[in-house]
Amino acid sequence: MGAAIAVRGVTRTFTLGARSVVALEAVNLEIPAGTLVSLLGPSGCGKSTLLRLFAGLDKPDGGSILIDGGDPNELRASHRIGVAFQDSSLLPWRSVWSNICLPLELAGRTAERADIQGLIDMVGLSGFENALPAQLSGGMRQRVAIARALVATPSVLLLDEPFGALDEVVRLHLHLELQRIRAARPVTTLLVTHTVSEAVFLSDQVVVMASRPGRAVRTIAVDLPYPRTPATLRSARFHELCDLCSEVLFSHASGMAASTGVQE
Amino acid sequence: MSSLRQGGRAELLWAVNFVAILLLWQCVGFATGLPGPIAVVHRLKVDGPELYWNAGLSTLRCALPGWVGASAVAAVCAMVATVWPVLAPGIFQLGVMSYCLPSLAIGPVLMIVLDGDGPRIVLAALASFFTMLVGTMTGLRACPPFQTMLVTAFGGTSWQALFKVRLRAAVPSWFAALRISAPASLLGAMIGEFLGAEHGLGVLLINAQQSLDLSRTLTVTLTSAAFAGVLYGVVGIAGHMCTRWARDMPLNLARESEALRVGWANTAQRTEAALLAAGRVIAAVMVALGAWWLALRLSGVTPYVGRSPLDVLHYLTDRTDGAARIGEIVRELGTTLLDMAAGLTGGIGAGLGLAVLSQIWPPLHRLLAGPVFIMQAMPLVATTPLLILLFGRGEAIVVIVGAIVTFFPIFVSVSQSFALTPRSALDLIAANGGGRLAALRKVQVPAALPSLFAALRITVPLSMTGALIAEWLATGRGTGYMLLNAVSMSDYDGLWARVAVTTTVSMVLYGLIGWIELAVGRALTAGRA
Ligand SMILES: Nc1ncnc2c1ncn2[C@@H]1O[C@H](COP(=O)(O)OP(=O)(O)OP(=O)(O)O)[C@@H](O)[C@H]1O
Ligand SMILES: [Mg+2]
Repeated sequence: MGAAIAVRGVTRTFTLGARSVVALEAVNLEIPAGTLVSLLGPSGCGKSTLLRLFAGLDKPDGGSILIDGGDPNELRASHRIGVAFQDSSLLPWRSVWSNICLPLELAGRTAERADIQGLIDMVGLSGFENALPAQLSGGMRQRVAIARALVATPSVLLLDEPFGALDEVVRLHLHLELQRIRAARPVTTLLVTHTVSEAVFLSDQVVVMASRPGRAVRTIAVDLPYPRTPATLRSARFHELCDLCSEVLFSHASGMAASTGVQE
Repeated sequence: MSSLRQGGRAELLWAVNFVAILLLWQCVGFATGLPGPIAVVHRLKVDGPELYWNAGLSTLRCALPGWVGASAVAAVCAMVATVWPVLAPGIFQLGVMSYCLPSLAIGPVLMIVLDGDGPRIVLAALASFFTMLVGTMTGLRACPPFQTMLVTAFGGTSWQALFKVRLRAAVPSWFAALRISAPASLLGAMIGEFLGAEHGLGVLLINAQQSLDLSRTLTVTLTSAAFAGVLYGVVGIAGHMCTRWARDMPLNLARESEALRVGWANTAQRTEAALLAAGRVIAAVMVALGAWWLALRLSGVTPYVGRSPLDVLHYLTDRTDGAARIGEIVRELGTTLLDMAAGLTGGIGAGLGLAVLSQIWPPLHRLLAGPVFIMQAMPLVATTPLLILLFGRGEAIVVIVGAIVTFFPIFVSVSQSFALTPRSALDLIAANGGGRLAALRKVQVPAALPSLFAALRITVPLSMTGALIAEWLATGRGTGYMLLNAVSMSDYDGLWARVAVTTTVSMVLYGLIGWIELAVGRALTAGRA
C-alpha cells in the first residue's frame, strides 16, 4: 500500500541575493515501502527542503527522487500524498471539520462522516468540530493538521515536526495512534523531528542530517520490536539507540558547539 | 469576556462622540445664526422628507450600477493580473489613470457622449474603480504562500488554488474596498448631477445653493452623508459577517496601492525598472488615446462635439491661434495648480499637525475618532456647495475644499503609522531618557514618511477634483471654470484639450511624488551617514 522512495544524489541550492546557500548536498536515501523514516538534524539542515521535494512542491537541482519508480509530481497530482507542514497551515476561514475535509474536496471524493469524526476523536478534538483555527491553541492546530494529512488515506505521509507544540502526554498518545494506523495500513512515512527519543520510538530508520551544507550523514536502523509501548521507552535498547543518534548528531555539530560555548 | 466589555465601551464612546458633535453643532448654530440640528429637522418637516428621500433614491439608482459594475470589472482585472502576473503592472497603471481622470473634467465629455443616466453611472464607476482594483489585487495577493502550497501538495490544480484559497483569502480586503468605495461612487454620481440632471441629490444641492438657501443646502448635504453612511454601514456589517475569521483591518488605499507599486518595482534591476516604468506609461497613454478614439466611434456621437485626439492636436498646433490657445490653457492651469497647492498645504498641515498632537495628547485621538469616521463615510467633495454658502466665494473656499479632501487620507495614514511603531523602539527611547517628543522626532516621524508620501500620492487626484469644483462653483477662474465655459461656448476642442491636460497633469503629479519621496529619502539617509 505504501510506496517505496529512492533518493539519488539530490542537491538543492538557494540563492539569497548574491550568496548561494546549499540546502541539500548529494543526499542518498532508500526508503522501503511501508516503513517510517525519521529525518533528525539541527535547525536549518534542509529537512523541510527535502520534504518539499518529496511532496513534488519543489525540484532538485541535481539527482533524482523516485516514488515507486515515478516522479513525486505524479503521486501528488493523483492525491496520494498526505502532508502536515511545520506551521500547521490551516485555512483561517474554515472550521476544524472543513479544514480536515480539504484533501477530500480537492480529490473530488467524499468520506463517511463517521470516519472524519473518528479522526477528530483520535486527535482529541471532539467538541471543536466547528471551531475556527484562530480559536485553537498551537498544539490543537497541529493536531488538526495531522488529521488532515491522514484523511485521504495517502500512500506517502510527510510530517514536518507535527508534534512540536504538543505536551508529553498528548504526544505519546498521538505516537501510539500513528503506530496503530500504520499497523492497519502501512503507509510510507517521513517524519521530520528535532527530538531524538521521538525519532527512535517511531522509526524503522533514523536518518541523521548535518548542516552547512545540508546532508545525510548516517542512517541508523532501529530494531526495536513492534508494537512499541510506553514500556519500550524504558528498555535498554531504546536508550542505546538514542545515545547513538545523539552521538552522531553532536559529532557533526562541532561548529555550533563552539559558538554556543559548549566544551568539547 | 474582556472583548465584550471593550466592545460595549467602544460603542459608548461612539455614542458620546455623536451626542457631543450634535451639541457642539447646535451651540455653533446658536452663536452664529447658522442652522443647527433643530433647524435641519424643522426643514425636513417643512419640505417633507419625501423630497430628500426621492432625490437620494435617484442618486442611488445611478451610483449603485456604477459601483457594482466597477467592482465586477475590477474583480475580473485583478483575477487576470493574478493568473498572468506580467499583465499586473499594466492593469494597475490603467487603474491609476482612471483614478487620475478628474471627474469634473471628464463629466462634461460624458454628458456629450452618453445620454440619460449614462454619465452619472460612468462617473460613479470611475470614482470607485481604482479603490476596488487595489482592494481586490491586494486581497488576491494577501494569502500567505503556504495556503496555495497546501492545495498543491494535496494534488489540487491552480484553479482549485484560486477558488478555494485565493478568492476566499481576498474577501476581507475586498469588503474593505467595497466599503470605502461606496461613498466615492455616490460622490461620482453627485458630480454628474452637478453638471446637469433632472433628479438627484446633486441637483437639489446645486439649486439650493444657487438660491442661497442655507438650511436646505445643509439638509441635502446631510442626506447625502446619511445615504453614504448607510451604504458604508451595510457593507461593513455584511463584510464583518462574512469574514469573522479575519482580523478587522480597514483598507488603507494609500498603503496598499503603494505596496502593489513597490512590489513590481523591486522585481527588476533599477535601469530595467525605469525602462519598464517608461514602457508602462507609454502603453497606458496609447491605451488611453485608443480608448478615447474608440469611445467616440462606438458612441456614434457627431464629430462636431466628439473631438478625436488628432482634432485636439490640430487645435493646439493651429498656425494662427495655436500659440494663444496653449498660452491660455497654461495660464489657467497655473491658477489651478496654485489652488491645488493651497489646498494640499492646508490639508497636510492639518493632517500632520493633528496626528502629531494626538500622539502627544492621546485623548485628542479618541475625540477625533468620531469626526474622522464620519468623514470616511462621506462624499467629501459633494459638500462644496455648502462650504461656499458658509465661507463665501473667495480664496478661502479653495483652501478649505482642498484641505478637506487632503486631510483625511493624510491624518489616517500617518496616525496608523504612528500606531504601528514597535513598542520596543519607543521603550528604547524612553530607557535612554527621551520623552514623547524625542520618540516622535527620532522614531515615529521618520518611520511615517513613506505613509505620508503614499497618502499624498492618492490625495493629489482628489485635490485636483476639489480645486476644479471650487473654481467652477465658487471662484470662477482657472481650469475648472474654463472647462465648463468651453461647454457653454460650444468650444468642444477646448473642452477635450483641457480634459487631456488635467488628466495628464494629475498623472504626472502622481508619478512625481514618487521621485520626491526618493529624493527626500536619499537626503535623509545622506544626512545620517
Ligand atoms: N525558499 C528558500 N529560499 C532561500 N533559502 C531557503 C529557502 N528555503 C530554505 N532555504 C534555506 O535552506 C536551508 C534549509 O532550510 P530548511 O527549511 O529545509 O531547514 P530545516 O532543516 O527544516 O530547519 P528547521 O528545523 O529550523 O525547520 C536554510 O539555510 C534556509 O535558509
Ligand atoms: Mg523545517
